[in-house]
Amino acid sequence: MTNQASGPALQQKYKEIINEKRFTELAKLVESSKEKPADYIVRMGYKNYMEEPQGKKVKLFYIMKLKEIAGINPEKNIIKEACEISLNMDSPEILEALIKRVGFDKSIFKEIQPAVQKTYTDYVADGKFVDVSKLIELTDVIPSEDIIQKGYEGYLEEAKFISFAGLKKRTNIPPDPDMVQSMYRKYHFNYLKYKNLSTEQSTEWLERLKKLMRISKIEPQGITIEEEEPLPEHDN
Amino acid sequence: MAKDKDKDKVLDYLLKKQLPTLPTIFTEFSKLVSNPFVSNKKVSDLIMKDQAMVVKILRLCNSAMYGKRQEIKNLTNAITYLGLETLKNIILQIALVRMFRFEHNKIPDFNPAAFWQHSISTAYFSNIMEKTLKLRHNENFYIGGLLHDIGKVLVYQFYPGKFEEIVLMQIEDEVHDYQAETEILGVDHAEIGGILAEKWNFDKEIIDAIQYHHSLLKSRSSLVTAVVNISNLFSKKAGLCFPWDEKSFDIKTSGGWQMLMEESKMHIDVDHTILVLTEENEAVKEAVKELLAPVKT
Repeated sequence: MTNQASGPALQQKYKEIINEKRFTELAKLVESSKEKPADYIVRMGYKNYMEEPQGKKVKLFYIMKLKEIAGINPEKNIIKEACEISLNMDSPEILEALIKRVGFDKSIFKEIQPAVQKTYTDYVADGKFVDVSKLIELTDVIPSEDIIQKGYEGYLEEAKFISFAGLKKRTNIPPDPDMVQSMYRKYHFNYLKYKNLSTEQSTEWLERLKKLMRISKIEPQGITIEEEEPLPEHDN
Repeated sequence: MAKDKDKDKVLDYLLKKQLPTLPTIFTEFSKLVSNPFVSNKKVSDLIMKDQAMVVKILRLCNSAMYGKRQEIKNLTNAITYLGLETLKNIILQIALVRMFRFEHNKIPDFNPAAFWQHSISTAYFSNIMEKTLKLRHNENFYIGGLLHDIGKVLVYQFYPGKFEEIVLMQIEDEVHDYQAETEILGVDHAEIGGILAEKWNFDKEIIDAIQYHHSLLKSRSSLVTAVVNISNLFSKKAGLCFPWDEKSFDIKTSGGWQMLMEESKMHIDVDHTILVLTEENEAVKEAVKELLAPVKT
């Protein structure tokens, strides 16, 4: 059935429903009325949602819901703010949903580069290499060389070879050869230090040297790595 | 041939020497509740012997995952609220987390929380699928989901070096975990997990779900295996797993749906089911956090 209300009375009703986030009712009203909510009322709704003191995820949910029903895009500053909130979440899942449901040009991420780079820093620090590649795909913004190289270095310091390999594979950004050489020297120094003191420690540093060779695909310079001994039947 | 030899060695080693036994608290509890007339008092007395267990049960009981409505403050109320079957599942979860503490973590990238997050979410998603699709009730959905990757724990515990090699192969060659495991160990986590579940005397449906969650066509009890297969993929898609296991794929194309429809003889609204599972992500994350948090008694 078509709703007969129109003009200022209908717009007033839209305003009320949008402000009170009665989305099911809003969807029904939009469907049954010939007149859609005015742009300024919808945009006012977005603005109010962002300013209200509710949880961040809830704000994003309201924005997505209103866009889906009213079909009017939020203003650029609102989109930017919503993107920044999504970038602060644990994973790019929410950002993906925001892009899909609100629909806006990816060039916006170039304008909020510092927020995107900050997210890369967090993901790299947490070893979330899958999320790093997902964020590249979603934003078209490449993580800065500095973030990636610091990530590689940190991983090697902590013997996180899986994270190292994952980041390299997912970003296609090679590690800095000088940093890798300096790590080889560090590992080798420790290997020599423990060689005659502790078999366990020296084996560990030797293993690190071999793993680094394997995953970095960079040959060590000025260091000879000893031949591998046969693996035991089980590791521990 | 070489792979077969590796497989024999690995299985022989695991079978003859090192397989852990099922946690006592769980076996005692299962035995007790197999009597349909058991009183809540007896159940409570058994659990009360383990105060850390009581604290964990109450925390989980009050998390969103178990549909908290009002705070449950004591074990007696928790038993009534959860029911014996859910309680049994919770006890198994807690006992497994305790059993595999990964105290001597040899791989700095290995995050035990990610493993448990994946196991518990798969179990929980299996349970939600059972309810959403109105499948005939079967406790094996939950336990199958919880244990589906238990073989990975054994690979990690007994072959940490190879575990790392497996993951590196997964990343560098972009292959699945079970493919890399077969390449390196000659056997995959599904087969190893199946052996452990057999040793622990779990139901055949559970063993099947563990063994064949990656190879549905070999499954003999397809319904539980199909549900575990979908829940496993969903959990990975939601990022509730090790970062290297997270894959970009379309969950709708999983063969599990087809098998599920054939076995249950029902039409399944795949989109709706995925939506229902998506809404539960946060509850699962919260419950895992509670489960892994240290307990002071």
